[in-house]
Amino acid sequence: MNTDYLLQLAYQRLQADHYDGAIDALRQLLASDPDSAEAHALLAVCLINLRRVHAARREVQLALLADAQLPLAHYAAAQVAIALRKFKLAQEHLTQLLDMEPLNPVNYRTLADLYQLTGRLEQSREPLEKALELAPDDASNLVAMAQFYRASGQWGQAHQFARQALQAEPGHTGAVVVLGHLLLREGDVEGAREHAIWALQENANDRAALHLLTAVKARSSLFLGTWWRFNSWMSERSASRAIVVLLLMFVVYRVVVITLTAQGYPQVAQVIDWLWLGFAAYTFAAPQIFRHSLEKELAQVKLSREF
Amino acid sequence: MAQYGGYRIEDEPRPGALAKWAVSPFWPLLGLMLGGAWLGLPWFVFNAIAVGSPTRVREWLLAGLCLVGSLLIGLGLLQLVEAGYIQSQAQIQYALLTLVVWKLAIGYLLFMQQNATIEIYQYYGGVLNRFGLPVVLIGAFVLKGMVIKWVPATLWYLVVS
Repeated sequence: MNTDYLLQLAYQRLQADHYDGAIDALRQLLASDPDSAEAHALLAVCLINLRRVHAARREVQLALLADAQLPLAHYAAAQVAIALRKFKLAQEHLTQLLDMEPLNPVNYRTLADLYQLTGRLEQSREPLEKALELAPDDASNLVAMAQFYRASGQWGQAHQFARQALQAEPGHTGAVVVLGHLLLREGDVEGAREHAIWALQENANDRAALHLLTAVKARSSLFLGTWWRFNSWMSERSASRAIVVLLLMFVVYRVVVITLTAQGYPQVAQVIDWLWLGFAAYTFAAPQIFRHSLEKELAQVKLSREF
Repeated sequence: MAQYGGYRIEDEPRPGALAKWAVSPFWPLLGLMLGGAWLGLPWFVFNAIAVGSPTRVREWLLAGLCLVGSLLIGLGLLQLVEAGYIQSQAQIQYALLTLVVWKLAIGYLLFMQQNATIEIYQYYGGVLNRFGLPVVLIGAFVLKGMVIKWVPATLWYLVVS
């Protein structure tokens, strides 16, 4: 099959969030043309969306090796670096990318994402405004602004931009999710749930929509809510940091128990032992319960799509 | 399992004839926690082979590192006991904590490494075996005592437990 056709097919499928299909097309392309920098870079973008970060990193290396001046390769490299929490490297790739493609709003949005991830919320305003200036009717730019104002606690403006995004592109998943979060903040749990379902009807695999739905589910249960907050806190850390945090918690628990026993408080130590056991059982059981309830919600989404 | 077809992406497993015995890496981790290194580490190694993990060599090295590290920490602790630096029950428990943390740290690393591969394996239709829980239970509550008593030496106990 023609490589140009396969590349276009991959772009179309990626745009429709059909990552598997895009990967299939790129596999075929790379089987016949293994040196295609664009195919490697595009494959990296697909893999990042599927959270296959290490494979994406390898594809980025191959893309940059084949063509170090390809903007898409730098875009993918920045995304991979962000996923690996190598923010300095991400910044370097984005700087090069903005030199190569100063008129692409996607690049400014990625820079704003990087700023927000590194705690520079206010600094992210400028690239977001630049993106909006370049494409004022682009729903993604409007949603990015809505997310910025939501993060800044300016709920009115967040609401306004989300509405504008929906006018520009009815059913835009990002806009629906932002509105859902705003409703959840106002305490309208059912409204937020409907928005999450609405977004999932548009795209059943949308991570932000799933995040909203899980936040809604967690809000309606203290048990799951605690787990959700703990899990979110842990997931904000890299894998190795998460391991360190878990091990530190374990060490603190053991040191406290040993010390209390040695100081003549075995009963208090026993209570802490039981609490730790409860915590371990809780972290084991909560994700299963959570996943089960999530699957039930998603089953409803599938039905509605058929309908 | 679905055929990958054409170009092969680096993180994709290459499952072989043993794939039907592959389990979720949670079970070897639990085996390591409840049964000991004798159960968890060989299980991680076997799982890597069964699923055809692309990072299997790294996983084998980690399992080997865990054993060598446990041996060295065990020898060090025995030296400290002989030299009289560790005497009381509490001191022994604090000292043993280093060994537990070492094994757990490697166990978590192995789990995270293998979990990424298993997720992709399942994503493309691979099915995991469900014998994980019984193996953990039998290993932890039936076989553990026998394995630990197999060699009547403190160092053996420290390394395999």
